[in-house]
Amino acid sequence: MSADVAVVGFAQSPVRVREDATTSGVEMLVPIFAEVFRACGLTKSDIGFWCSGSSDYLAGRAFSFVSAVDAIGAVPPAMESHVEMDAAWALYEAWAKVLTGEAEIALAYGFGKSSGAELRRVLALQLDPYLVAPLWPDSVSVAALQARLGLEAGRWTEKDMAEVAARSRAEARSNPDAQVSGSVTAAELLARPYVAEPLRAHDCAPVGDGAAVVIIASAARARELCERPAWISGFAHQVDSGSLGARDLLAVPSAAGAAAAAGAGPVELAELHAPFSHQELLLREALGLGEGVAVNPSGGALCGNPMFAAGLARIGLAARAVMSGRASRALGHATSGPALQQNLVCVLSGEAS
Amino acid sequence: MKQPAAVLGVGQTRHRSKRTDVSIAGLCREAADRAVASAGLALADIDAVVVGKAPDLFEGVMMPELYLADALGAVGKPLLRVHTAGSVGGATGIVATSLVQAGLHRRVLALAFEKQSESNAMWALSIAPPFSIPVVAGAGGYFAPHIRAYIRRSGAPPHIGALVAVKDRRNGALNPYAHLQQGDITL
Repeated sequence: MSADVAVVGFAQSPVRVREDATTSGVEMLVPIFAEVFRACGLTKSDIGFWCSGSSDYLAGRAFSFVSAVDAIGAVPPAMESHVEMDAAWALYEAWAKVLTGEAEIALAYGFGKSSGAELRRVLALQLDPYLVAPLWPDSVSVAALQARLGLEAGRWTEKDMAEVAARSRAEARSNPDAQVSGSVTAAELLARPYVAEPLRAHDCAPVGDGAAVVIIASAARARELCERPAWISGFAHQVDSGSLGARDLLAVPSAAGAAAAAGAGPVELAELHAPFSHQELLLREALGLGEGVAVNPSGGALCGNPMFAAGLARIGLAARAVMSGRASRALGHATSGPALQQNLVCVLSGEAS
Repeated sequence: MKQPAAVLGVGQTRHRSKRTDVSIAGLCREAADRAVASAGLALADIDAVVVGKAPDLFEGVMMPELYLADALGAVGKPLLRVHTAGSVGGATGIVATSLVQAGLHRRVLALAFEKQSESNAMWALSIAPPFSIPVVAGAGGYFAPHIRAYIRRSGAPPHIGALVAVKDRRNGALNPYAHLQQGDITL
């Protein structure tokens, strides 16, 4: 890439079912904007480009992201854009804007009040509207089909899946923003009932509300804003077929393709957006992550998955590991769509290229 | 730093109140095929796709670009979905242009659509934001008070709005893809 761009700031709201927060996102965004501005020594007038990610269907009304602009303040007018995707893709748009030179400092934010309705049914409306959605295959059931295929193909066992969940919950004990955490063994989890066979509650991300914000800056500004910027060494995304019957649900070519396009290479730490336990196993393989990689030290999406913010939070957490010196090279991943249809990879490094 | 970007081709479907002969995917593919043909390209030559659409409630499909990935030749490529409310068509072009200007891609397909006949646009626009009184009257319910205030403040004579509409209809008749074909209309 022609220019260096780095993550210089990250904040996220604790993932909770928020009775006090509306679908506009404002109540969740205002505190984390203040937090990230304070950490970077910035004010909103320093931001050259804003980009957000959220969903009208999650909020239950058209143009819902417009209300979130109240968290910025609409005056004076700002250069601003919005994707109807996880905000990891908003960060991608912001990154492109900084690469063009039109902005030196850009901010991406995402928010989702996932608890506003029955999430798994809402997400059924992402499927083919003529042939599939009318049957209401909810998102948990679609993921269960994928998990079942993997079990029958001998790719993993229910115990493997429970071990992912147990490890994630143990990791989340040190993450105060996590919604779920604790010490539990795989054997204890396997004794619990199915939600959608072969998935149990621990195999599925909890439904929670939250928001996340990431600030990026050009090389000219990054070092003055952050002692150890997390340089974006690669950033790419791809999509797979929207037809569940037309793709191999046990392969994630868009994740592998995004990692290759981002020049992922070896990393020490990876934050994967895997809303279901077996999807972490699929993603580890697609992204070529070996045993030595620390996967989801935050607990991952299985311990907190605010829709449309969780992918951006993965990148923010990976960047935080680099900014704090805990890792020299880290990977943040985001997914969107049913059964890992769309995937994004952002590689962060302590060294500018 | 900024790479130059240019428009290579354009494609438009014939705008009309109902296109019951095609699905959402069929409608979008029609525009995409025309755009790549006018550029002398095939869909396989496209590096990335940017879909603009606002709001999802117009068709009743959540994030329809996921279902459209196959029809737009986006499988295995980057696919971005822009939603900036009423400005989405223009914003889609801006995002696609940025991807070229940033040096990320060489050829980007920007596609925006609405297929309002699939759902109820009046319902979709009758939104109820938190802490606001819902107007429940579609877009007209929001715009009419603004226009009335403008007329009162400016003293605009009553035929001004009609002049604009006549001008637009006569211009539209020069475009074979325009919904209304009323080249003979007068004030």
